[in-house]
Amino acid sequence: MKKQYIEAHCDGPCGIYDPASARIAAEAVLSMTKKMSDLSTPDSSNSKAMSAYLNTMSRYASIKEQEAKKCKDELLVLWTDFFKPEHLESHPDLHEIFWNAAKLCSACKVEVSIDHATELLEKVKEVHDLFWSVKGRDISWYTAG
Amino acid sequence: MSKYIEFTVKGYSMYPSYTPGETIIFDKITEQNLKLLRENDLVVFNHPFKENIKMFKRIKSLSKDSCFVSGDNPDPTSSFDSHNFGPINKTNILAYKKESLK
Repeated sequence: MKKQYIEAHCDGPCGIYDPASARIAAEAVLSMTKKMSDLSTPDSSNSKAMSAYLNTMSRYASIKEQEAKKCKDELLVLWTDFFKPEHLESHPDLHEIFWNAAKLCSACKVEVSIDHATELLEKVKEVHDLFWSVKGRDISWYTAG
Repeated sequence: MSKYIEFTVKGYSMYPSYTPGETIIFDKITEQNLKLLRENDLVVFNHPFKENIKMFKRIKSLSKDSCFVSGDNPDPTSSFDSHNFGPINKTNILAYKKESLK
């Protein structure tokens, strides 16, 4: 008789998760927020300088918003795809960590707040610690910036 | 015609309860025994997206027409199940086995 097989595979998603993607986006948010805060306003009568200033500020704001959204997307993938109910038993603060991190992404997208951008990176570190603790691996936290 | 059917496991999503190469005898699903399905029963069902692929998981919860299935492996990346594709329709179930968690 021909053997019939049943699949007990992961088969669909690649199964590769890493909070590094969220960390890179959070770092970009902090970097752009600092650049926006540091950019000095030119003399409004100097039209060339004013155009350059507005152009630069717009680009910084656009990148900050994109990266904040990217960070939120990466966090939501970890929260909803990687983590399972059993992880909540060993880490009861799991939902709160992700909730706060996702809320900070939204705040950083809207505001120009170095405090919130710094806090976001700190929250992403909490996610990093939580993720690697669940995986049972000792992966050190580092930043590129 | 036999009321039983034998399948061999591929993959690790049911580890440690079942390992690749293990052969299991299931009851074929009929209109009557479909009503006997309960939480923790093992089920063989058609892959929700791919033709000719049969999947093997455990029922986590049931409703009238569908059930939520998942792998036994505690590593969340090891199982493609209702966490990914949602509850399966009971009409996709081909066979089952009564058993509590090992």
